[in-house]
Amino acid sequence: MNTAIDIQNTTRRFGHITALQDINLTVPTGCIFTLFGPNGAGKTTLLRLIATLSKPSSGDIWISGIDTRRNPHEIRKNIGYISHQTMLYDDLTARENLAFYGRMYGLQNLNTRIEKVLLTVGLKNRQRDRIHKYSRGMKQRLAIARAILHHPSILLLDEPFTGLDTSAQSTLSNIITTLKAEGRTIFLVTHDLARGLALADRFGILFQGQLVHEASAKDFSESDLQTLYENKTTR
Amino acid sequence: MPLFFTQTLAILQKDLKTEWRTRERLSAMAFFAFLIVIIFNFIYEPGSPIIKTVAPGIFWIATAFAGLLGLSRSFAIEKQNDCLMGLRLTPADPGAIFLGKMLGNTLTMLILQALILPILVIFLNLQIAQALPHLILPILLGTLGLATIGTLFSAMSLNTRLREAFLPLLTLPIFIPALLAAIESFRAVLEGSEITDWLVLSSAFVALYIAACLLLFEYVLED
Amino acid sequence: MHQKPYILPFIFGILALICLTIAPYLVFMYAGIEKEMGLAQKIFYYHVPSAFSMFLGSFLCFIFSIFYLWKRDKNCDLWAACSAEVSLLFGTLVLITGAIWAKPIWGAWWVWDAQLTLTLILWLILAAYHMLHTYLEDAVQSARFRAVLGIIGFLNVPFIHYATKLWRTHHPEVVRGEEISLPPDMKIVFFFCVITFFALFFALLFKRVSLAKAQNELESLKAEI
Repeated sequence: MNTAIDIQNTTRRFGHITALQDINLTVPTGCIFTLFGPNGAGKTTLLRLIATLSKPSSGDIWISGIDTRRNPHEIRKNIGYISHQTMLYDDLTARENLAFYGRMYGLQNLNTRIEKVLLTVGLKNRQRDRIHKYSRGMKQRLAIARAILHHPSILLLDEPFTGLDTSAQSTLSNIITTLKAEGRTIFLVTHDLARGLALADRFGILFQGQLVHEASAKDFSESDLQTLYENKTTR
Repeated sequence: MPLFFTQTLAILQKDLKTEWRTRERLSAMAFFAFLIVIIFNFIYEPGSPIIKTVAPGIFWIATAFAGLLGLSRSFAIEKQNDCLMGLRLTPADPGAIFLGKMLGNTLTMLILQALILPILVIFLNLQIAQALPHLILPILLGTLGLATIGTLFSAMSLNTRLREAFLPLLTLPIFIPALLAAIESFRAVLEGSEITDWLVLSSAFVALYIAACLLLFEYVLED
Repeated sequence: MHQKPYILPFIFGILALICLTIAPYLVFMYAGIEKEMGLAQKIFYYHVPSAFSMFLGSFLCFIFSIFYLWKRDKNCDLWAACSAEVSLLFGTLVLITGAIWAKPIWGAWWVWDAQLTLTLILWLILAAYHMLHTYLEDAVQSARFRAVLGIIGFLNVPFIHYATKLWRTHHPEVVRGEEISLPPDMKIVFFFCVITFFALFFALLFKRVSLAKAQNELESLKAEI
């Protein structure tokens, strides 16, 4: 099986503080991996390392067989990132936002691609509105469109459900399942145990900068996870 | 078109479009510049002939201070919704991001100056009609210099405490030689004397600092 | 482990101490009294070497900043920051001695002499560099930003030099100090003073660096607890 994300002995320090310690983790291509952990466990730090936004203090990370230290630009073309921040410009329309990012990625046939992703996230009829008029859920859907615009094979999702109402949350879950069906690898970070487990093929628990548990999500019930999570994240 | 310039242009157009839609930045800058011109006027006796010799200085002080006001917002826009992270996720060259931002700031400041000049003409009774064509190049170079350093430090001051207070502290000392060149050549044009030396200085300043910022911007964006 | 950083400041400290004791004797007893400026000219022996030390410090800061961005060695950042700090100190000396010199000669504490203006602007940049340190929280980021400012700031020196020169020649009404060619006795004393100030510069620099290292160690020990 191909490996989408391969993290080896990775440590990340900020000054005198160690945010991540000796992480070893592989995520196969086409898999949904969910990472649980309390606030401050280092989940976002790990995502940022995978997205080549920052560099590990020691250790190596390979994305689809490419070294993050060697060729971050090549990797960025292959990664989509969704966080609870939209990374969108409020004073531009939905279409303009996507067109801007499309040009930054250097995409060809941009217009047809924009039409297509707008259709996917169901915002086609509102594409000419400036997005400061959008609801939180609509903005988040556009953020998804932004993240999948350049056909990334790997999607990183950092607490994507935060601040969404229930209907927007299930829309997002549906989109995630669709993206998996297209063969993309999805790395999801959340502390919503139920939703995270329902989506996952595999899951891990991060606590105080260390990966304390990693297992297949198959045959795992929510209550099992609840007990496990509490055991692993108390000291 | 090479990807570098596509990206530069994308940033530039995006910035100008948002600026045009809100006009927040430019109107604040223009009002501040107007205030500076008016307040400077009170330092001197009304109608004093000295005003003519200090007018170039007033023009550039207004540009620099109001410009810094706008520059401090330049990267604040990118901080909203964490757009800067979105930019860093793209394979965009940091140099392209810098250049796009810098050109956007230059254009904004040029528009600002186009508003300040008539104010000077009206309130200080300055005659610049004949000198105007000769003023364009020194003003352009001075503005490019200010925008270059200001854009770099605007990105740097983003993560500091006292963000707005910090930008002028870094920018102004470095800008002094180019500011001197800008003021002196403005005055020389009004007096009809030679400005080649000053133009050489400011073009070298602009060229060297653009090159340095293209190289160094990567380290400013990095996390 | 601390042998080396403590020995160097010691050697240079002793050297500076010896030189500083001899220097006043040479300045006041050995070197002749300048005809036009009289005793006031004596401050030149402290003023100019201080300026040299200041430029040396800024240059070291520039070099270490480049090395920091290149190698990402924390020590380079430390050396750059310490050089800038010591350079700022000598810059302050230059400005003070310049004012003391200017008062009897030109009758004002400050005349916008090209060299002094250059010093003043460089001093402002160094002060901004120093402030940048205090305004940033993240240690790694602050090191990177400092290095960028160290490079950008030093690149400015030729521009300030050229600009202040042009500026002063365009306004010739202020009296300018003409170029002085020194008689041999003054030259010897001057070179001795330059050596003295360089010794003092390095003594302070090494001392400052070992202090900064100790500070860092303390921080990491604190973090461990």
